[in-house]
Amino acid sequence: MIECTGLGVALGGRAILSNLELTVADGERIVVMGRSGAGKTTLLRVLAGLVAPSEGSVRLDGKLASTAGNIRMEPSRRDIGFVFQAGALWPHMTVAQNVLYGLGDLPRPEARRRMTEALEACKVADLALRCTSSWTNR
Amino acid sequence: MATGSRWWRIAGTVAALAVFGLPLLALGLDAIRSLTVNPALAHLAIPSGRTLVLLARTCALAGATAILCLVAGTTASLALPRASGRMGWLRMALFVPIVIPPYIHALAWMRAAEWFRRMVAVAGVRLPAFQGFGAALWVQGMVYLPLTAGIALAAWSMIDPQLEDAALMRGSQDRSLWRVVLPLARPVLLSGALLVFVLCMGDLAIPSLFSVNTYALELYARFSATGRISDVTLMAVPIVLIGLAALVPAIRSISAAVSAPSTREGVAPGFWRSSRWTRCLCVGAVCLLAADTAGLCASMLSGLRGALWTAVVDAAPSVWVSVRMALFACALSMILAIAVAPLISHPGPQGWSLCALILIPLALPGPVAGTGALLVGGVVHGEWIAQVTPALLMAFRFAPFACLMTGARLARADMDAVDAGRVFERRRGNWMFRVWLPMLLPVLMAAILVVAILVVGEVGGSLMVMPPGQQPLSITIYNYLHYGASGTVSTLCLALFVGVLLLTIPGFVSWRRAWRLT
Repeated sequence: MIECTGLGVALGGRAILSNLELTVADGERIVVMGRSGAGKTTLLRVLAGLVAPSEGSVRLDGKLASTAGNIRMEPSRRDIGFVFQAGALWPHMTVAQNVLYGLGDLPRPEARRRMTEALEACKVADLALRCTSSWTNR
Repeated sequence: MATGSRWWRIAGTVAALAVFGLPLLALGLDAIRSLTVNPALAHLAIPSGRTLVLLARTCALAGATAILCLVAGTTASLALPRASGRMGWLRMALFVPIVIPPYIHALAWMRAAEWFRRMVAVAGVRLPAFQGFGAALWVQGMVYLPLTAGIALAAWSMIDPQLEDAALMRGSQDRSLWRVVLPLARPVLLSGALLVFVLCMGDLAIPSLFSVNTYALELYARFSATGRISDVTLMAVPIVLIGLAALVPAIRSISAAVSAPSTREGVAPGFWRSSRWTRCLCVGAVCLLAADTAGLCASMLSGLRGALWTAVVDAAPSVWVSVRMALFACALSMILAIAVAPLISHPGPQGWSLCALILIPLALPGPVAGTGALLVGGVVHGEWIAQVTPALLMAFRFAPFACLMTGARLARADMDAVDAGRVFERRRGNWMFRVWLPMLLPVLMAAILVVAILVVGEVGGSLMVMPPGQQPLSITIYNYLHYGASGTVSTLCLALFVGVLLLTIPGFVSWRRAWRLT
């Protein structure tokens, strides 16, 4: 469950969001719509813990995740998935290393097994040792 | 005339050959002539015995300085980016020492060390004098620390924020820093260290002040003792080769970082959320940066106690020589950058050859570059050439920075925007003034700033070429430093600092404004 209370975000001295109230219940699906510059991405970044709100708070499953000017729960501890617009593949790592980075908390053999499974499911197992910079440019 | 046209290529090549090629050609021909007369002189190009020791010591000093700057500069820059907004001025103040010549840093640290020695002596502890390899290493490190911290800031701003955010989504702050942010910034960070290495290899001001004999000092001493330029040229071969080997990989990354628009304002690899140890290291490095700035300010402000006005009036001719030299060198560098940048921005045989030609002056120690300028000046008759030679030498030594920075910006420019300008502009050639030049303006301003700062503080080459009765402020200060006239030195350093600020502030403001417009 996600709860935003009196949420406000100011970046570079400009208010992007102000006094936003939002509650997303478990299993609920919502779509955030708005014109360019309305603050859709900023809202997602605040929920993910990548930006601290300038006012208000964010609670995840009842736990305080962010308060004004303070990120209390690290992004990686929030259990939130995030798809970036440009793919966000790290160009200095191989395909396998990119996948392994996200499995960092698991024991090494388990992480490798899951990585192999994921690459096979995406039919890119043969590209595992390629650097993503060369891979994405093809 | 289009920037890719035949005429532009010819003009750019001729300009580069005239400014960079002629002194190198003169040095080369002079060395060959000496070698044909006395082939035994070839041994000068291969260091052995004493010269080998000197070369090893120079490499060790430059290498240790580069490592110190890499570590301290990178860690300091990690803590700095968040200090934007109202605290932005404080961040800017920490970078002010970039514009201050090395020997002024040396003076500040000498005084600080002397003060510390006296304090400790009260407690009965006797410390050795602040001299030798360690002192030179420390001061050189402090001189180039703001530069490497600035390059590291540029490196952070080049990283795609989405890559850092993606790393944070799946790992802790420290893990994302070590596994993603630092590896992505590594080419630019290492290039900054290599640039420091090359600058230290050719520097003779700081080693001489701390009684450390280096290879660049030996070159100067050899010329002073024998007056034979060919000896200096041949002796400089190893140092030039080492410098070139370091410069080739470094220049491209740094130019790209300096000229690339920031991906976001105040980008930071999340310093405040990193571990306590990382934060302690970063804060320690920032304190070092702040100590250098504070020491410099205290040292220069002590000059206010002396007869400030009298000292400045006495040094007025030197100030005028410095200003004249800087203005001429900046103008020439700007013309050269505009002419040469289109040729080196795109790979090809001509571009690579010009790049190689431009890199050599950067690897030449000041005294060798000075002798090259002397040779060219000796060919042309007339009193005027003696007056122009110092400024030409400054363009020879420092215009490569302007050319490489502008070339790197041009290589990353949106050529569709330029083509659109050419299509829609009704007056022939007007697109250059309305699209092409405004697009390059920020980097040209930055390049001019770099050239102005370097020219005002230069010593090594000026020592060789200044006509009798004339000397720039940098040499006046350098001479006073050797005589130990510290009161006058402080006063003149303050005057030099104010002069540099007056020269650079308009350029800096224009650069910021131009960035916003582009």
